[in-house]
Amino acid sequence: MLRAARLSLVIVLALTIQTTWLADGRPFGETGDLLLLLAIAAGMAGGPVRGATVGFAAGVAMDLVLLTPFGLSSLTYLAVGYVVGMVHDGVLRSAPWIPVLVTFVASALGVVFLVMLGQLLGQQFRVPNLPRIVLVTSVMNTLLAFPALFVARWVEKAAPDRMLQPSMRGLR
Amino acid sequence: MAMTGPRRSGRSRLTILLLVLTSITVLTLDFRGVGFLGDARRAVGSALSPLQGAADFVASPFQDTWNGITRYGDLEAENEALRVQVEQLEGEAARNADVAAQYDELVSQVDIPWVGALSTATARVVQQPPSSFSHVIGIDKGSDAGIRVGMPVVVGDGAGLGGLVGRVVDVGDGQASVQLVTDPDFRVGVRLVTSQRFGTASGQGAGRDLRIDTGIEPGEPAADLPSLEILTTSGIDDRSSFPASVPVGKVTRTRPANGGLTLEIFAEPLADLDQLSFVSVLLTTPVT
Repeated sequence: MLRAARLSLVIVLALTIQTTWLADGRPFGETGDLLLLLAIAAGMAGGPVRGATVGFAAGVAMDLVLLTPFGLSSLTYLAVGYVVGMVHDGVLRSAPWIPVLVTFVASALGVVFLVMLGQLLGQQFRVPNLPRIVLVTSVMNTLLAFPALFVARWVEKAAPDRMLQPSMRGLR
Repeated sequence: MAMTGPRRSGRSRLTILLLVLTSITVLTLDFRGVGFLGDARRAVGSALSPLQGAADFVASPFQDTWNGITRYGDLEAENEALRVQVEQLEGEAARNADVAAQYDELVSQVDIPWVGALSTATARVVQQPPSSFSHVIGIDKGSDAGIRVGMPVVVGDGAGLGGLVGRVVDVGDGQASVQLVTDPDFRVGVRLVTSQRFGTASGQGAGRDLRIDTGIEPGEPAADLPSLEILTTSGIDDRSSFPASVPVGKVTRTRPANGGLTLEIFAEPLADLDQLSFVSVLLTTPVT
């Protein structure tokens, strides 16, 4: 219950920042994608199922403020969160650069997957500036990787012990 | 009691499966036009509005300070450049008078002022596109101001600046969403003012020119476009939700298309979509 409350708070805050500061500021002309970052961080902190669950919730939140097909973002973020969780579970986690690399690659693949899925669903994602969007989103998310991971761990710490990833036990 | 490995794994798979199925179901419902999803979006828009206002309020002093610090040198250089530019412009004013006369003539052909004859609702832009793939802005007026889905949205009053911004695509009580002309899904029937040819303009993404499909062949006289050619809404299509003669863009370039059989025209939107603060919704009767 506490974990759900924390997650809701984080998603609402991320959505507010996405729709205000990032939408208005548009660093390097693009908005970035904080909600995608949440899914990635959740995958790294809590494993594939938590990555998918948080990705789904974050995607629904994003779908609620966009006029793209409802479910497009949730399906994309769900997949990204799941894959990140799978990959991150399968590698050594001692190296500090791994979250950085995972965030960069997952952000890029997430944006590309979103466009491909959108095209399949008939969206006119004709984006000649796709490379710039991918690059800006990946770089922004990478810069925010550690704060996002900290937040994701804070959310996960509220889970009952039996539901925690082995790596998370003993952290609270 | 702790779950065993296989049970936990099975439950995990079930969770993932349920999430995927839920996403696909919601996608299907959205494509079928189920109404509650739109209601949910409007409800979230209303709920987020105070938070967004607070976020803007919190950010504005920092943004101003940051801009002051980081752009101080730029501002000095900009001031100097502007002084030089003003002097040059004063010298060029006489030469520009001729161009201005041509523009005025063109504007008069467009029947500007186009807004004057129509009822409008002026609204503030409260939401920029929240994603790099979104071309929809939010405004602070909705159905309570008489705004309906399909109504055209413009900026400026026809005094020589501004033009078509987009079309209303979603309306709530005190808010509405506007699809920008640059949205790749956006289509509008247009007329080339000088040649009087008709075509369809479509968006190509943020910061990119509109593409106009006119069917003009490269060899024909209409292909020789004047240096200043303006596009307006054609308004001839019975199904068009746009009144005629609303300025849309100015032609920037052309290129052969369809293996050289037709001419593809590109036009820069007249409305400055990056600097929108207030827009006017033309309260026409939208086509349903």
